[in-house]
Amino acid sequence: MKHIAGGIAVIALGTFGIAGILASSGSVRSWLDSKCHYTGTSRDQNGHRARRYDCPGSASTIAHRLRDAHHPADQRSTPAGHFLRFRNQMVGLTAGAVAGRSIARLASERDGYGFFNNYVGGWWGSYGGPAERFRGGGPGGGK
Amino acid sequence: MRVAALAAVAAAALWAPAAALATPVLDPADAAELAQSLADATEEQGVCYGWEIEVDDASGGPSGPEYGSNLGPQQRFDLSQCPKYAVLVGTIVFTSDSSDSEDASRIEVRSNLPGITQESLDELGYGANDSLVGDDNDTVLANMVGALPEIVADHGYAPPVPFETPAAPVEQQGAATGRPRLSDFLRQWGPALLICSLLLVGGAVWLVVGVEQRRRRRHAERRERRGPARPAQAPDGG
Repeated sequence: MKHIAGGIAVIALGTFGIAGILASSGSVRSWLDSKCHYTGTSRDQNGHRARRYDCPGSASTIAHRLRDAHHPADQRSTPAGHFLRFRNQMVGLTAGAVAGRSIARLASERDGYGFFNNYVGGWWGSYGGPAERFRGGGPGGGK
Repeated sequence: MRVAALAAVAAAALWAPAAALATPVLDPADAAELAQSLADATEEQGVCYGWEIEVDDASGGPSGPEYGSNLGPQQRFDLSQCPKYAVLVGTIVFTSDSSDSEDASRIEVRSNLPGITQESLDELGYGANDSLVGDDNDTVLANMVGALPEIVADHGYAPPVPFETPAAPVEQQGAATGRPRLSDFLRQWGPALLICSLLLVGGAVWLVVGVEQRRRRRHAERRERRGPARPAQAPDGG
């Protein structure tokens, strides 16, 4: 009798586990749809498109939450924001127009590589432009 | 002749551009790209950024300081001239093959802006310690340093660095490569799914064993109730 009860308990545990996994494994898009506000489609000058969201929280905060919900295969952090790579999609998280908010852009792999090329070019694919070299910047002592 | 050749090499090294010098972690192009992104951030935010990592490789790999800043690769800025700054400092120790000790690294964010610490990097998944000992430590280092301006803006010390879409025509952009092999679902849930599947299989085996044992026990009990089996009687001959 112990064996039968134990077996049923273990089967129930496995079943609940799989059900829990299936229940909590939505898509990146559905996560953004639920946590952020969809504001339309962004297009760059080369015609690459991305779904654009207004999100509550800074780019770092949203990157942290999205990472917890959906583990990216790769991540790139730059001064302009964070970029997460999934199997068929890329997400760019950058500062919003208002402090404490951020903009999320969700794009297919092809569109994302073009749209975020300034930041992921050469890191997540081939690089077709001239070799990077240091050109300098503004005043080092700050403004 | 040999002395002249050595002198020529030394002179060439002396006059070589800073970006071409070998560094222990970042290759020159990546260091230049990182420094350029920091220079752009400094121009936008008025905050100085940099990195300084001391590498000690007992296994024979490149050792020495790995550093750069918004002034360029292998350039340090003068802290006294920066009203605001954030610098990633750290150490990496690679042990020799014969050593029992593990490779190790430590990092710290030094800043005169309260709240700008390595914990923000932890939350982004880069980890504080031993995150720079892997084969991809150049990528991790570039990501950690590259994240500093966004973290500073996040804390409200400076305006954010604006996101810009590329101006280059599409044929100069290259194409995405290295698509992850596993689906997002399997990459995230694969181990948990395996454990749950093993539980299902294990539970089923346990259940079958239990049912089989119960069946045998009942069979034995039934035989006991009937008593010992009587020997078969010989048929009457008539």
